[in-house]
Parts: sequence; C-alpha cells; structure tokens
Amino acid sequence: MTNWSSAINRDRQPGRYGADGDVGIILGEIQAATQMQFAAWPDTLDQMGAVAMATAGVATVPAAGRVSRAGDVSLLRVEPLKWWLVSPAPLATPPLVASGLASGVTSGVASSEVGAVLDISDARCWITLTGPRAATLLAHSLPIDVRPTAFADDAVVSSAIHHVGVTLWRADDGFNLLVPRSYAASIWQLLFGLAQQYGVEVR
Amino acid sequence: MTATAAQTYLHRFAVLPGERVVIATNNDSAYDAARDLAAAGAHVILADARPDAAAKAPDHVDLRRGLVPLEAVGRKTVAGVKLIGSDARSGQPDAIAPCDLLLLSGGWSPVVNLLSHRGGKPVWNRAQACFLPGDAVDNITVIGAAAGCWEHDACLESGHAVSAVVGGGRAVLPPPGGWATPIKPVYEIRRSGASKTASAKKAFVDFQHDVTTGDIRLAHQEGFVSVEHLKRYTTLGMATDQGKMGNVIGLALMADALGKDIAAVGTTRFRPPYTPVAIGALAGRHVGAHFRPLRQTPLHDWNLAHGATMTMAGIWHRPWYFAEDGETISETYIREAATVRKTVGLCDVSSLGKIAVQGPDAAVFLDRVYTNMFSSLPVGKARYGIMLRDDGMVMDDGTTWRLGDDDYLMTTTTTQAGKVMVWLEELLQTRWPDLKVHVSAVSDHWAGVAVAGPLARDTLAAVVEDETQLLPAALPFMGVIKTRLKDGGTCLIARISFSGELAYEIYLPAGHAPAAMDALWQAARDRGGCLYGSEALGALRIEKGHVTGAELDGRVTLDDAGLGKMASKKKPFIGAALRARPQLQQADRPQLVGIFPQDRRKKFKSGALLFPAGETSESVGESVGEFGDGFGAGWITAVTHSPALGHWIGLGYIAGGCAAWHGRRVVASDPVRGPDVAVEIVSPHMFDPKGARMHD
Repeated sequence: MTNWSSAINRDRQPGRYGADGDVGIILGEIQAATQMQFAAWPDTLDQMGAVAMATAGVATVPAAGRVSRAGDVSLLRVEPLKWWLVSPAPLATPPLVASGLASGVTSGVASSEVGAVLDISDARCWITLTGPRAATLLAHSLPIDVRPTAFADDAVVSSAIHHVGVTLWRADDGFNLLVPRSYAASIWQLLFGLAQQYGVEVR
Repeated sequence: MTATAAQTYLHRFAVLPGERVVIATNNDSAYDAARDLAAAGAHVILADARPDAAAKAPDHVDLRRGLVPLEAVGRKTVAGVKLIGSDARSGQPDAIAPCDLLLLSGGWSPVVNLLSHRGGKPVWNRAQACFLPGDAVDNITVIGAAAGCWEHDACLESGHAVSAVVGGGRAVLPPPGGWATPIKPVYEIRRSGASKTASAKKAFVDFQHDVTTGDIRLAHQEGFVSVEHLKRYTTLGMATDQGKMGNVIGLALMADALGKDIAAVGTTRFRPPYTPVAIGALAGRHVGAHFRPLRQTPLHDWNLAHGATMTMAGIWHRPWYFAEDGETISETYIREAATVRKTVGLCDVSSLGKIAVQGPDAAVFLDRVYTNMFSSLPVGKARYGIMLRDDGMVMDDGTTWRLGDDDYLMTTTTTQAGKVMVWLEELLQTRWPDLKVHVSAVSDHWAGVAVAGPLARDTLAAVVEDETQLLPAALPFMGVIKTRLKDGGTCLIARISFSGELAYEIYLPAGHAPAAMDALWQAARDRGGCLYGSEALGALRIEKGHVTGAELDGRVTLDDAGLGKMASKKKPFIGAALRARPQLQQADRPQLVGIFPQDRRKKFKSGALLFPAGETSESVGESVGEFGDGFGAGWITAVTHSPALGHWIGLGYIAGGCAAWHGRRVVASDPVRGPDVAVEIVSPHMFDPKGARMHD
C-alpha cells in the first residue's frame, strides 16, 4: 500500500552502532507485509489447514510449533487451531476468505463452517534479527532457549519480551519477530539498546 | 574481617590491612594467613582456641594456644582484644592484646549451595563442624574443598579419583578433613560458668543483619523451633552473604537452646544466587521509560508533530490536548470542545480495545456476553452493548459492529481491553467450548479516529472516494460501511457518537493512518475544525452523561448507571441471575446523576462526597441525619467546565437518583481540598438530552 508508515519509523535509523569490530547483530524491519490469520474449528482442522496451505502456496501444513515456507511466504502454526500467513509482499492469489466487510478480499470460498480468516496485516511489526550474536541478543530478552539444538530452522514459538507477547521463528539462520504494533517502538528501543554491546547494524 | 579477607588484600591488592594483627582461630587454615601477614611485616598474634594446637608456630608469629577473644577494645577503631582461656582447664589469665586489626577464622563451610539447588540435602559432619554434601544427586560427584577436603594434596587426589567416574567406574574419594589438629567448634564466647543471658555485651552472629546470640535465644523463647522459622523471625542468613558467615553459628546456638544436636536441627535450603547479584542486574533495562512497555497509537508521531501534549491511559500514550500559542490546558479543552459542537473535531481513539468475533456461533456468543441482543443486529450496523460480570455488576461497554453474518468487530474501553479479551477466551475455552467462535485481538491492526461535529460528514466526504456512501440513507445513525479513501486505502466507517454530535469513527489499517490523517486534518482545518484530545473528549461526554471507567467502577449495576433498559428480557445473559438480587434492586441505591453548582460561577471537584445540606462531612462525628455515617449520600465521578452550558458540571452517583433529590439542597463536600459547594442534582443527560444533534 502506498503511504504506509512503520511503527518504528522514528527509532529505526539505518547505520552502524555500538561496539567496534565485527557486526554481531543486524536489525531490520519488513514493512507493509501481509499477515493473515486462518482459524479452524476442532473438526475442520484438515480442511482449514488445506485452505491456509493453498493460500500460502506451501507444500505442507505446518505442525504445531513449525513453519512451512515457499519463497518469501511463510505459514506459521501459532496455536492449535490457528495459522498465520506472513509475506513481505501482497499475495499473488487472493486469500480464500469468507465474505464480509472485514475481509481484505471477498472471493468467498471458506465458509464460516470451515473456519475464519482475518486480515491482521497491520497488527504487528515484523522485526528481523540476523548476525552471529542474534541468538545471544534474544537470550537477553526471551525466556526460551533459541540455540539451534533447541530451536531449529522453521521453528516458531509464542513468547514474551519485556512482558509483551511476541511471535518468533527461525528461518535461514536468522530470526523473525512479530511484535504487537503499539509496543513495537518500546521493544525496538530495548533490543537496539541491548544489541549495541555486540556491534549492531540497522538496516 | 576474616583472615582470608586480609590475605586477599595482601595478595590481590598489595595492601597490608593492619600492622599489629590479632588472628583468632579454631582451625589450621588461619596459620597460612598468619604466616603471610608476618612475612609482609605485620606483628601477628595468633590466638588459637585449641590448647592442643600444632606445636610449631609459623615464623615470626606469636602463637598463643587455648585463647579466645572475649571482646574488642577501643573507640571508633580497634585498639586491642581481650583474650580469655578457651575453657576452664586452660588456666590462661585474661590478657589484652593490643592491635589495630582483628581477624577471625572460624573454619570452613563447603559450598553445598549448588547441590542444594538440585535438591541434595547437606549432612552435618560433627568432626569437621560443617555441612557436607549428602547423598549423590543425579550424576553429580562433589570433590575438593566442596567435599570437605581442606588440604591441597587431598583436593588434587579427589580430582584424580573422579576421573574414574568418566570411565563409568566409581570414584574413591579421600575422606573429608586433613588438618593436623582437628577444628574446635567455637560458637559463642563467654567466661566459663557465666550465664548465657547475663552478659550485657552484644555478640553478633550475622554481621550483615546484626543478628546476635540474644536474638537466637529470644527466637527460641518465642517458640520458633524450626530453622526455617528461626531464619524468618531473626532474618539470620537473609543478607547478601546468605548466611555464609553466620548460619552455622546460629544453628548451633538454636540446637543448644533446644538441647539437640546440630544434625537434628538441620539447615535451611540455600537459594540462588550463591554470590550476591546487584538488584540493578536483575532489573536490567526495565528502568526509566522502560519500567513498563509503552503503547503508542499508530498516530503517535503524527499527534506529536501536530502539537499534542500527551497523557497516560494505563500504559497507552494518548493525546491529552492540542494547545495553540500560549493556551493553558483549560483554555485548550474548552476551545476544542466548543469547536466540536460548532464545526468539527478529530480525535485519535486508536487505544480503544478491538476484538474480532468470528464464527457461525458469533451471534449466539455475543447474545450471552452482552445484556442486549446482537443476533438481531443487521449486517452493516453497530450497537452499543454492555457486558456484566457473573455477579451482575457492569464489566465493560462499547459498540460492536456487525461486518458479516458471522463476523463482528467488538470495541471495548481502552483500559479493559485486555481483561475483556481474557474473559471471552475463558468463556469459550471453559464454559462454552461447543461454540464455534474465534476471538482475536485486533486493537493494534486498526487506527481509530473520531470525526465529530456538525461538519463531520462534510469533512469525511472530502477524503472518501465515493461521498454518496456517507448520505444519511446510505449511512444512518449506527450504520457501518467499508469504503475506500481517495488515496486508495480502505477503511471502516461507523456512524457512532460519544460526543453527542453528528459523528463518525473511521478505522484505518494502522500503517495507513498517518497518511489518512493528513488528508482528514486538511479537510477539517478547511472547515474551521480542530484536533482534540482526551480532555475535550471527557468534557463532551460528561455533557452528554455518557459513562466511562470512572462511572463503571465495578460496583455499579445496569440500573445504577441508568441503563436498565439494556437488559434483554428475551434471552439469558451473563449476570442476568445475580443482577436480580434484592439488594441490587433497592430504589435507594446510588444512581447516575448530573450535577450543577447552584451558583453557576462556582466549581467543584471530582471525588467530592455529596451530602444533604446541613449534614456535611464535618458533622460526621455527630452522625446527624440519614447520611451521617461519613459516606454521604453519593459521590462525584467526573467534572468539567461545560462549554455548551457555560458553567461547571459533573457526573456522579447519589442514593435514589435524580428523582429523589429534585428540589433538595445538596452540597459537594471535599474538606481536604476546599470548602463545601452547594449543588443541584439534575439528569445526567445535561446537553441535548433527546440526542437530536447526533441524529440527522
């Protein structure tokens, strides 16, 4: 969408900050992404999973705590009955969404008897953390073990930073963080401050 | 200080902490310290409690056997130590040993803390006078000094022995101990035969928390026989050293008082951390502005750039008022509220809670949650709803919009959004798991802007792609549409009014809000409009008698708030049964009213109590009249200067409500902050009571 504003515009100033030497952490943001929730009923898990899978264009329906990816599009299993589709770009195929004022597009396929689809694109700020010390940085803030042995590629988890519920997944040796938009500036400041001791590049 | 502390000063910092040193000890380890200090040039007296201590003194050390320190001598600084015989048989006369430093060495307590954290129980070893690791926990083998090996060689040997474990074998460890002369436990020093309680001098057990031998005995006298209770009563071992210095002594004294062995008394479980950790390290970055996370609306930067003074609503930053040159807050909000009634105003209401309620049973669910009916709400319409707690009291209110047959958007108050979300999840997961409903927090997805005032439609028309959608026929009062702005962005527009004016709330995907607000503000400014903050928002709603958290404070029923008609008789809902309790139906319960000052030039304050005239709070002690119990007949929840009425007004509750007080004299009493103000009780709907302005 044109005229889109980030929640961390003021705080995210590209540049090189903190400790000298090698860059330990690279912080970035993926802006104006598409985020969509697919929610099933207990007896329609397979059907709704198939809807989510088809919309995302991924090969498998991710199991609990896992992510399926195809290109830039990721499908996250965030709750027993819920998936989130996240994509840096608008979707090529319109989501199969029940009709209604709330929907982004109204090509009704998935009736409410199958599940519910919800556009949540602006609800969360998508922060990326890469670099050799990214896991160390997260260890400062998150109560979970994010080392590769415990948190492998394509693992997703709901946790908390500074008491704020966040969603974290690992992909291609980096971490992705979805932070509720209203808290994003506060959390970004916290991560940026912590990252400086390892040398940080903001993109 | 301890003997090893002096060694550390010497070896690590090259500081000799005293020139004339007395070391009081009961074990061999102090001999090393004595030797080192003497070698560094100090005059050292080593007072060893053991009459049978090693035959040979270290070089240049004055070794005196069978002596213990009774008291330190000197003012402000130590000048000497009174040494007495360690037991009646020692035959030593009292002597004052002059010194400028007194060092103590009472033996060692192995670091069993880590093992204790793992659930291992330390066991008392009488011979070594310390707690040693007990039975093995998991596959942990404790070696070295942690296992009570005092000598260097034994420590090395235990290290070698444990290597057998790595190969799957059993480690044969050297026994604990290793001193040439066994330790002589010394827990309290008094003259032989002296009463335990007679001495007026204090003998400290826990140097950090100033716990004395007397405190331990007092704890025993008070009946605290368990070590856990002893600890909590005396605070023994609760300072930053976590009892490393004094715990064993305290336990020994307690055992003595109980006539038990130390092993029978036991020890408290050690807690992490072993070494002190600064509170600052635990607080980390949760300080200052990050003491709590802050929530910002999507228009935060926009508001600041347009002159907002911000205020906190819970953890939200919200615009409070938009002062123009030199305006005070009062001048500002009065101007803003007056402008809304005259032309148009824009207000960031993004912090309101928003919850998507989706699924084939969404309508059924909302009918149960709200007191009024939502299944009958047509698609494209909004309705004001109130939800009660199980006990029949009002929990929260807000409008809920029907976006599709199975698709609602619920709004909540800013402060209760999280609570309502948790409540709805709890209901769905525990009470009605059979309902096919999903609730999702979308507060952060949508930015909300109130566009209020006679020119609100005109203002919106300037920014939407198709202004005919705003015509009253297309968007009547309480109507909702999804539409497109001129810049291509989509939005939801609901024609709802908190101010009592013709008003809309436009919901924009958050990222699009600043750009859309630019366009809205351009349109509003062209029409003589203004930006307004929460202060003007409050003034406008008080004029209308609309309730907020100040009025819905958890003690209020629907009827109290004048909203009894919102309780459906056609369906059950949460709170329906208990709101019918006789006590909640009494006619003299406090009910929502409006409040005017009798002298319209006067003002009164929120929080004041309402009394019948002549029964103000100052006469409470005399308890005159019906409301002489000090609580008054009611209270004031909110006040404002009303730009529309030209004087101060308020909302509040008073027993029996408006009808009961018609024509009666009432005072608002707030004796701490000012004199009583005579007021009159009026309908809470103080401005445009029929709502003509917000309809067409």
